[in-house]
Amino acid sequence: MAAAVGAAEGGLKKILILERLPRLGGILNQCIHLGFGLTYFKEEMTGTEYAARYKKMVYERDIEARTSCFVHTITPQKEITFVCADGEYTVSAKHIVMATGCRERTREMLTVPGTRPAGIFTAGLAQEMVNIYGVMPGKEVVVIGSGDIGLIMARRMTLEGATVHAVLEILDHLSGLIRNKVQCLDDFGIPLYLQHEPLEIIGRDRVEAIRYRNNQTGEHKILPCDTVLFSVGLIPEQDLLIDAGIEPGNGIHLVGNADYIHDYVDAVTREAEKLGRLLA
Amino acid sequence: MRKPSEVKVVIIGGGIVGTSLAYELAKYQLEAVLIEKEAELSFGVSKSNSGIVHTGFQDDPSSLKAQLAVRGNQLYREMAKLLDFPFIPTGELVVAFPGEREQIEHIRENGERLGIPRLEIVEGAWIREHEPNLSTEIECALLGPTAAVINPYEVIYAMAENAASNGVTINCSNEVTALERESDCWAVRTSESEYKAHYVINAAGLSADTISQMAGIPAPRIIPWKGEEFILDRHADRLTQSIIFPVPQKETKGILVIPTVDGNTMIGPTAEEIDDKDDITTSEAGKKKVLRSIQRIVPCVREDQIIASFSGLRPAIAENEFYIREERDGFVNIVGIKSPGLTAAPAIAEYVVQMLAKKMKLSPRKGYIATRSAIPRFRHLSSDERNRLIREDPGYGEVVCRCELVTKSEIREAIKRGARTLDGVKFRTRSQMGRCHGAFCTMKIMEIMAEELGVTYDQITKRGRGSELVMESHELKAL
Amino acid sequence: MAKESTKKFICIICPQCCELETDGTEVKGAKCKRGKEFALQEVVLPLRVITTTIRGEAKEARRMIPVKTACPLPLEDIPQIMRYIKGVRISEIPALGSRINVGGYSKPIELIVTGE
Repeated sequence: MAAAVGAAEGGLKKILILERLPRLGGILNQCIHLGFGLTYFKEEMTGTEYAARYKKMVYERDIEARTSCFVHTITPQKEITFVCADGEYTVSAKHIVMATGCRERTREMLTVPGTRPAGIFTAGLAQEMVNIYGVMPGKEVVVIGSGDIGLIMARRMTLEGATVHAVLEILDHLSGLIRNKVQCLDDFGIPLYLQHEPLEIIGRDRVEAIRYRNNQTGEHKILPCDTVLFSVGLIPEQDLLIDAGIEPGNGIHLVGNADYIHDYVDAVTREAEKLGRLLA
Repeated sequence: MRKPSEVKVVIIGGGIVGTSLAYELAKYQLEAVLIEKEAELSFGVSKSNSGIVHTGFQDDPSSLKAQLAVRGNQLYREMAKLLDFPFIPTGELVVAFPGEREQIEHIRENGERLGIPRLEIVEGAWIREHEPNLSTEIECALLGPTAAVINPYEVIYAMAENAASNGVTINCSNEVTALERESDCWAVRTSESEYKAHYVINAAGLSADTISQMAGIPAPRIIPWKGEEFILDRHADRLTQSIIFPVPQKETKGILVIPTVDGNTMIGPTAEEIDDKDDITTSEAGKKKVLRSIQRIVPCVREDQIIASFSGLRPAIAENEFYIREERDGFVNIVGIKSPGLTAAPAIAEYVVQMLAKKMKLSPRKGYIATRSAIPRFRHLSSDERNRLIREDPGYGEVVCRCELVTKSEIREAIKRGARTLDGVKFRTRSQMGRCHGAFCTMKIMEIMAEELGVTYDQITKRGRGSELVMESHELKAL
Repeated sequence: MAKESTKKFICIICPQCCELETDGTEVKGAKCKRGKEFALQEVVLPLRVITTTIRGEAKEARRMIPVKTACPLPLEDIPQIMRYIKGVRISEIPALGSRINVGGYSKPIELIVTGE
């Protein structure tokens, strides 16, 4: 949205936003927590408020935005094919801005040895479950990885009545922001174990426990739980380009987390608006 | 409890063997019911099968299993057309390192005795040209062009849908609790219902020995053999065109490279005898073992290409042969169907039905429906076909699983055809199988399931009771 | 009035994450006024804004409506406050920024709707 607003500000007339979900805002819509907008708007907002603010800016500038439209192919000739409830369409553009965000890493999640029961989720999926659908992934939780979404979800699950037993981090330092550790873990007495590696997921139908190792002492422990959330990093979502074998450039632009992973939405916004103006 | 249903045949077990029987029996005018203890068909042994339709040359040509495998291979070709499931004729290569030529020549002779067509020993130059990723140390290989790959669960659902359309009843979540001989029939009691049947066919896979004991009939003990398999990322180019075998070991066919129906490469399986019929864990040791074996054959495979792993159990018995016989009073045991069980399954069904035909008169079913069509797979359609589908049903324009391009209507159709669990939807549509492993689509699929099945989110399971995914938040005690 | 001990915090006001140290009257390490206020308040009674969701029962509305508390509330009371907030049900689609009052706690709690 920020790229579209930037381009419109710069005087560009024909802009089209294609969004796969039924509403604009992407993952911001499931980020109900504060921490957005501090540097860009000089006020602290929730992700949902941030999305709403941009949506208003998009509508005020009469930018065409189509939701529930799934782009599945782009070509080096800058043709975009998308599917929606009225059919499949191909449009061509002078510039394509890929603001496709990122996806959560799951490789670790799926190659942690052990069983494959219900109760293993990425932190982002857990966030969608709780904040959008109002259901709980479980009540006895262990978080693997100390990424920001994992920290935010440790607090969120606690607020909703679950017990978060620990956050395990294989590295010797926190992956997320310190302020998130303070206000998500410390505030609620949730322990962070650094240099701890998950070794095995236990449980036939539903998670029953996780076995892990303290890599400093070599000590093994089994921690009973019914839910394991993974927050082990984000990957820029560039599959549309990879599938088509296209490199960015020549009118195809990556912006935001689709380009590289940012800590703050404010930085993403700034970059996107700048890019938008440049294209106008 | 409801009044028992009276039927001609009860099939116990909804894996590849039991479902093949349901499909085969559906061709005749009789009442049959298939019962499965898991929430859906294929959720036992079959779902983690490697999916290879073997040529049949790996086994002793005088064995029943070799003969049934060769016949099964032929049957799959016809069935794939009738039942509209993917059957990819990849062919297979048994690769020989220096000193192993004699062994593959021996396998070829066996194969030729079984009547397997077009077997050929190919030399180094052929291998370099057709399979450039194979180790240059490989001297020659036995080529079996009739080998192929299928998706075991897809075949099971295809056969089950066809059987159901011809009147065979399929009841999942029905675990047999008692089996008794009454004056002229068998009483089969399950967790959900009761059946009286003239014939009972025991195709219960890992539990086949237990089921036989329930009927008071001794049967060989099942020894679970665990196999761990690893799937490589699709971005890693297809490693090989054909299925690659090392020269076979004593008990197993060794660790293989399998190009799957879905375009990934799978490596494995390990073979480990275990005690626990529930042990489907994967291990670091298993991964290392598979990688070591495969890197000898395909040196470019890397550990970081592994995107998923799973393990399954083979229902082995002490003797290296299928145990198929009519025991007494119309009770048929099908026990110890390990590799090439998937390949042989349609032939096992044919064999058992021929056995039954000696005892009872089988007449062709009136109005038999020979075909079944697959759920349209949006991803594989042309733009015109897509637009036509969307015009008929806008749900085909709503993409739910973005990695595999699966639409809302495909999910709905899977549920209509019997999917009751998240894994059932996954196996029928490929949703959740892509790179995000369900992180983006799980809730959207659950939303559709809740709508279509009229259930709440907390009732939806991954693969049956006990694997519920979420709870309603008010169930948690207030803090 | 002399304080015997000082307390250290990491400031959560902004991404700078200043390391603050205070004896209850003086604050060291704060790069802004808000950080200073945060530290002084943190010694007496830590306060936090709660962000959560409430259940929307309107048919067309999204199921969960995101909200935040209009002002920061005592950290130690959050479990108790969450219980009151979780009891709230809304039948209409609330506008972004509209306010919802929640009773039960020692003082009235005001929630602000943060999503649409």
